[in-house]
Amino acid sequence: MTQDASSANYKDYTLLSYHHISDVHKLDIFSKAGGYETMKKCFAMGPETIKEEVKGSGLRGRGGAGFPTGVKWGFFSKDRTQKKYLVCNADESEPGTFKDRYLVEKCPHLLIEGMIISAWALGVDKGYIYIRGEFYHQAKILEEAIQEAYSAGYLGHNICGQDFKFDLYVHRGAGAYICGEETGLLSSLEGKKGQPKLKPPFPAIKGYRGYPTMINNVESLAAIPWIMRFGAPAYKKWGTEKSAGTKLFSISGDVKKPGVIEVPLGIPLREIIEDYCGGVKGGNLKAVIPGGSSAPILTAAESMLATMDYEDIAARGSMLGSGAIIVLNDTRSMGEVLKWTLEFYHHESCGQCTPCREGTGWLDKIFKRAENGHGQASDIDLLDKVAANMRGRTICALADAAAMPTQGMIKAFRGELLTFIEGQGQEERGRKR
Amino acid sequence: MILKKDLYTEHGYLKGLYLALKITLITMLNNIFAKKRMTINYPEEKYFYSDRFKGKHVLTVKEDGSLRCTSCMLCATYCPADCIHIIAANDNDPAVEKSPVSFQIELLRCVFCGFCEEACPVDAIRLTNEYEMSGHAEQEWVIDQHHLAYRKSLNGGKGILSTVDDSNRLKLRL
Amino acid sequence: MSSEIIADKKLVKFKWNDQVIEAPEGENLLQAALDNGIEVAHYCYHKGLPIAGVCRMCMVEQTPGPPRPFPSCNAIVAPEIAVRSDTPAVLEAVEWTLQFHLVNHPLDCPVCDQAGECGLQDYYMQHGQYNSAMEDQKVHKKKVQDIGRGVMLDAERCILCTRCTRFTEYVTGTYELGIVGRGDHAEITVHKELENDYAGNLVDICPVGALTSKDFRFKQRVWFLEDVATTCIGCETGCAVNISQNEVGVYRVLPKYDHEVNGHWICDDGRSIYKHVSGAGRLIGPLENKSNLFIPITESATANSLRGNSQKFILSASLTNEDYANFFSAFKGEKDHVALYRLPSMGKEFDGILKRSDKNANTRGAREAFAKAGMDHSETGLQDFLDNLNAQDVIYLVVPEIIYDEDHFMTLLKKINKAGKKVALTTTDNLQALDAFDYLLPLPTFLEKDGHLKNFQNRDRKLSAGRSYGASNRDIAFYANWLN
Repeated sequence: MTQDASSANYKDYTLLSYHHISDVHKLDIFSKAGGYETMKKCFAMGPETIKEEVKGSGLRGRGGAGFPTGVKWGFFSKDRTQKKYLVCNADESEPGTFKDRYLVEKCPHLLIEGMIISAWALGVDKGYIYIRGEFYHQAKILEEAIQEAYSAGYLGHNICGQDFKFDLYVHRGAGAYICGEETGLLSSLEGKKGQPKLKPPFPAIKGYRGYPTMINNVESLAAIPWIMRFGAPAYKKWGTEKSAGTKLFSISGDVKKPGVIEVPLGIPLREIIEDYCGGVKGGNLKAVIPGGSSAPILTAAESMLATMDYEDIAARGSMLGSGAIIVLNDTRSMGEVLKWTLEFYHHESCGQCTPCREGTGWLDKIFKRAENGHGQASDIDLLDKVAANMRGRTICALADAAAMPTQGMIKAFRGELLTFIEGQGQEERGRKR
Repeated sequence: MILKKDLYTEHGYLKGLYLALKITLITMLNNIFAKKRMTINYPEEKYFYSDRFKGKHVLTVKEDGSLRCTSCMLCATYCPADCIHIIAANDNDPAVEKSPVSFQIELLRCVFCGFCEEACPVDAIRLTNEYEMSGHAEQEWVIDQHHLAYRKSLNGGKGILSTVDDSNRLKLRL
Repeated sequence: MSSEIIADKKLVKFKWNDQVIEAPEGENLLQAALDNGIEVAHYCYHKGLPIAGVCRMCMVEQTPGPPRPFPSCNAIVAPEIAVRSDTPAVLEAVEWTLQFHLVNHPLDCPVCDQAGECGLQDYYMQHGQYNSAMEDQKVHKKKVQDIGRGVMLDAERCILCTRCTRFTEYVTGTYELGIVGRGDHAEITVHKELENDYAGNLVDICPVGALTSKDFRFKQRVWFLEDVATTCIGCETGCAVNISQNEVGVYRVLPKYDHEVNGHWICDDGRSIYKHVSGAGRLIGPLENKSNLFIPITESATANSLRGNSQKFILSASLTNEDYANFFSAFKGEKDHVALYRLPSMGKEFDGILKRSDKNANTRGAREAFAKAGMDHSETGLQDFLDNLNAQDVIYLVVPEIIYDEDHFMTLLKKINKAGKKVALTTTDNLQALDAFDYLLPLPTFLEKDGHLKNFQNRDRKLSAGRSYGASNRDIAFYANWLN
């Protein structure tokens, strides 16, 4: 945990407000610290009030897409008698991201409280937390917390004496990146292969088993209690005009103090690396991946100018995504970075639609061939062309997630990639002699 | 003999005749005495045409001796004389899948255009420089795959080797 | 399902490229285009199957609509939209999507039966024609797998359009086919042998040579074949079929789309109705049985030896309406000299998809014609007819073209033994039971005559004549009164 505990005022945190309290994953400790109070107050407000507040806060989806949560909630049917579902996307498979794990591990009740408030606002009586299969311990913690919530009367029938019931279940995945995509998640939840569905129809209209389903990220749902407690204007005070609030960033790589921090959006990336993470380790800064492996890489120069909000990063040709910051020093080979990226997406493509299935495999093969010493300069252009033609033509965004970092790497470090290919070639020819 | 008018008016008939026939006479004398003639004493001397000559067909073989032909029937489709007849069948080797059980060419219909050689995607059929195909009217003028691939004139019966196949085409540049 | 035409939706006008199209509002956009004769590249879309949207070939741009090309199979017709399939963005999308399909596709064209009717070949000529940039090793999968019911699977050629898995899921409900693996190692496979009665349709819907027919395997190239649109005679459903043939023979039976009767499919039994047409044993003239050896004999010689006795007929229930009408107008004998033999019912009365238990192609037509001529077409009538046979009779039996139950047929043959002379009116001599007959006289097969059959819905189903492979100039009406 990198946040400097002594200097921080925990009232300033929206998501990590309870994380300094030991054993706050237990319901009694959480309640003593003020947990679930907001939920009780929310039952007095109407569902529309809650939705307005969330919309007014400017909260954007924290899973990676950055779509305004209040607007997404607005698409949802208001009919409270209709069968609807609320799903929390805790799949967190984007390489470099570990913030949801941190949230769920330390303070699962915050997520549960957020989900109960959301379910009340949306008129939903069943919720699922889809957690990635590798998070075995975290799933157990969640299940225990849910049990505690049931015992306290916060889940199940007649919650807090209201005519409102909400059942919450934990569903574990089985190790597929594609199940973090919302319709892939729904397919997996339905018991089928985790293959994304065609959109339209969108999950808010036709989701889990054909019923309207609202899917939100862990961080988005965990922000709801704070927003409802202190109000939308207070939330909007943090961050920038278009990117309101605070965000959890998971920083890893060549920094002295890697970990999860919560900072307002709009903070300069330089500040995160130098102040919060103690600076670059083992060398000088070479490149930063700002939003998980799907985000195009930023050079050191760009990183020093970037501010961590959705607009600025997008303007630099990358994306804020899940807020997974990977810092690379000058001992790192960009060729190696690209190699692992391509291998990852090749492995994770679900294989349903042709451009992604064949494209991810092709990209991986081209670069593996180059890595084995049989590449040539024109392969860089080939990678770029194949990546460009995968984008925008597939059922889900995995193809874009594979293509964007490829094109980004080529744009930012073409020279180094060329040297890498030629160097590998020389090495191979040297080996043969 | 009728000569060009100016030849005999200028030189007189006999000289004109000589002038007109000069080149012919020189050639004739060259042919007889200096042995510069084009004709050769066939069958004692034989002329060997280049590899581009369109003579009798050959079905090439692979390294293991089996036919290269996969009976795709492109040659039969392309043939303007409709003289190729193929019956395909399963091949025991699963990597090969399909091979001809019968491959026949009606030699008398064939116009030796070479379209079949052009059409073949796997270099299975070629036209060689064999031109000695005369025979009797009563004999069988349909040649089958055994004759096309394994006649004595082809490497002593072993067949002409073709090495064009997919695995070679996709070999990495090493 | 995918795109049934919604009868009560109103028709609206919209534009596709520069053409104005009228279609029901809410109908599938791709289907509306295909119905109006517009060619749109597609693999996974099939009118008889639910939408998958996985091939990504049917790209179009629409105003007003999404900002970039999208698949038209997942869109619907709305009034006043302008759809374009010829913009540079769309053409590039189609070309590159095709290129992705071909990246791992094996170069099997010479040995693949789909050549000439292959989706990849056709679209490559229309939308491809590029220099391939793929120089790496292709992914290899299991080839030449016999998965049962006459279907061969080649997983390497498969483009994972999922038409076959959707077929076994939604049409037959038998779920034999599925996809294992992920990414470019995903592979179509079966977990048990195919065991439904409609497996032949898998070969038809597969756009490439991944699923091919074992029966048709390597027999002929499709560009040497011509199609005859006719009707299947396997049972009383009367499915519309296209039968492929050339001067050498008949090769295969394919379904023809028919909205009222069989939709997109035919059953596996219907796939083999062609075999006797150009097979061994087709009669080219009358044959006489001389100690179980059939020797050619002239028509007049046959007629001479049969003349003078009472001519009795047992007709089959698979002849055309015209055959029966012409026969009865020519027939001048007694009313109880004609009977009807119907093949026995087999299987469930209706299997829920297409097959029916009445294996006679024209039961209704036969009964109608018999009734009109005042003849008895009943089973008891046939039994009485057989009981009354004696040594003075010449019995002509029309041998059904396809006999499922040989035992039942043999029982009939035993009963006609007491007739003086037995003549089989048959298309082929390739049946052991024919040794019981004294003469074989030729009849045309169903593929060599024009006519109509009445199917189970009382619809008239058309038979069209294709090429002739045997004696097909003598129909049943000729023999009705040929000795006079």
